[in-house]
Amino acid sequence: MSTANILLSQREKANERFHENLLDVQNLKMHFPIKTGILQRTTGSVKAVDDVSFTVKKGETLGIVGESGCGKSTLGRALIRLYEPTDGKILFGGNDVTKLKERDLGPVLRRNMQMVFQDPNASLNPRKSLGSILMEPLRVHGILNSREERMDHITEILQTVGLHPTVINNYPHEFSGGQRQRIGIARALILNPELIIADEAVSALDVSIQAQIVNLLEDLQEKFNLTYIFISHDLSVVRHISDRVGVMYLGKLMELSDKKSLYDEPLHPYTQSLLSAVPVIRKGGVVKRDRIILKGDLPSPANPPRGCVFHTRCPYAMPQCGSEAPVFREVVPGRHVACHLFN
Amino acid sequence: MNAVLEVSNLKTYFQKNKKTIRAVDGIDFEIGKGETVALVGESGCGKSMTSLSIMGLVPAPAGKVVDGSIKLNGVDLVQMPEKKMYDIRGKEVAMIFQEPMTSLNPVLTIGDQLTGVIMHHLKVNKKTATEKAAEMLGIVGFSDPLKTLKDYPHRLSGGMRQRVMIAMAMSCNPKLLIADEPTTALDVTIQAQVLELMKDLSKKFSTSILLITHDLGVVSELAERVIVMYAGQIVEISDVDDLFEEPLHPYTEGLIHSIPAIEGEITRLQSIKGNVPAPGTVLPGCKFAPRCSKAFARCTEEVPGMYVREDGRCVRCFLYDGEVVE
Repeated sequence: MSTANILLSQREKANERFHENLLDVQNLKMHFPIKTGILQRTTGSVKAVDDVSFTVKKGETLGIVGESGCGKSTLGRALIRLYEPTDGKILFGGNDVTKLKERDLGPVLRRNMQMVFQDPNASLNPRKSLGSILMEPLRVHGILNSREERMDHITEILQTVGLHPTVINNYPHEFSGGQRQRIGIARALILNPELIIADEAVSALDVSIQAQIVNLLEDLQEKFNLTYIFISHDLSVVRHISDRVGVMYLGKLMELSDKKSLYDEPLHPYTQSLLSAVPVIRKGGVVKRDRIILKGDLPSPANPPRGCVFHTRCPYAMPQCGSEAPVFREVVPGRHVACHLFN
Repeated sequence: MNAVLEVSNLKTYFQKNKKTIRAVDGIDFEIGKGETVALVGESGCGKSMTSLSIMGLVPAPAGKVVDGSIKLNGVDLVQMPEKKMYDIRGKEVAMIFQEPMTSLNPVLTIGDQLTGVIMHHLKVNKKTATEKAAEMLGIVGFSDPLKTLKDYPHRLSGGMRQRVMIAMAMSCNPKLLIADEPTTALDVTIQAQVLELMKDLSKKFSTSILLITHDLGVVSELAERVIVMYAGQIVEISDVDDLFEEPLHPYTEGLIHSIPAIEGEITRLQSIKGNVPAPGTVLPGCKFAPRCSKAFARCTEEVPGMYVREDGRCVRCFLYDGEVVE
């Protein structure tokens, strides 16, 4: 039995107490204080993530899309508790991880939830060899006993992500961008986690390399029965990889549906305009869909509009939208929208 | 064709650690009046170096245009003395860069930067230049141009900064506009605004545009013809519709199939194996051969020339050897 299989069977045992929803996020808020003056008094807050609720089922891929500053990266970081959430609950396998003490974070949360970052140059330590980058998580979490066993496991993971084990003593600068992203994935995978949060994991790569990494992520999901939260601004890639997709705007979830309904028939006006803005490759004179050009820019998250945060740019805004925030609720089975049009 | 820009056999080389890196390795193309041509390729393929060569901005002394000519309305820019290039840049050829924050001066107001360009090239006084600057800001969609003229770049959002860059580039009515990844740093909704603006302006002023991008969606939106580059060479030149309908070069085909679609059926992505060759790699045959799924023996032994098909499409690949006309 290989080391990966041993880890896998350990995990299956642990899974038995898991609920159907691997992750259940309830009213999550992540507010950052704005401090001014010499006394650094708090004068306001940036509501990076504001009252966001969703669930992630085991084995599925949830895509999170949105423009820069919408809070999608903050959401990912708050889930893995790189930030301390201001309010709300994150139930991961039934445990509320927002209440965990620092020393319990490792065994309960981080061992089972890992992250792949956007910039593989910034997220790999340039002074550590590939071997020690991958050895560190095993040592920190006390997985496998001897150095030999750990090395075997590292070799296996390297082959899984498509790197040749002979490169184990090389340093990050010796790899290309795509290879470095494979290292980032190997590092996330080495603890055999349940859930991987991929934050713009393919955005910095050239398209031909991006396709390789997207395919790799899909293969790994099948092989290890992984659950992904795939955060990206690229609507096409998210459509390709996700089962369900959530759309964020100014810290709030605007719409959350299965992929097909969301892309074929978006409900929220923001989703509609976002999808229509994507440049499409015309083939054989196919008529392009009507483009809804949004006026103006994203408002500042430090001073979001009252009522619905999107009403300042919404083509369908009604008087009610400026005063009353719409509730994020299920309007059709499986489809959640926050918009007064669907009341 | 009434070509505004004619590039022939352009070679831009870099010297690094006594090694020669052929960033641009003998490229030929032309751009007609009012035409929008896209230059497409992955990072390191030489597309940005091509644009810097046209602008005369290749980083010296490491980099140098070693051969070839760049003719703008018949005048060779390669032979042009640096002093004369001052009058060409910004007037005859203007450029929009990817990152609008680093290409605007943070300590000068938008007004100072815009009027500076206009006063230098159009030889007008400050008052006329300010009027012209305000007019241009109005054209690119600022609701209160006179207020924006007094603002500093940090007060503007990314999309607005890119509009300022476009206003500055268009203010002297250039014959050629080089847009190097103009929307890459912008969000999709803002990108849509900027693309619409560029489409309108190119029609209005009948400016030729050389659009440099890696985003094939943007190419499809804006360009009429497409030049595909790989490792310093042009591998395919084609009309935009033909290119997406029937890509000729295996690299173009791979590039198109690597992109997930926003609509239609979802199939597994066909990636191109391997990586872009490191700069300075010298191969005896076709530069794409090691990654090509259709490569055969000849590809690794001989360098393919540019084949021109009967329908006028050009492709650098031995698969089209039989169809050569020229």
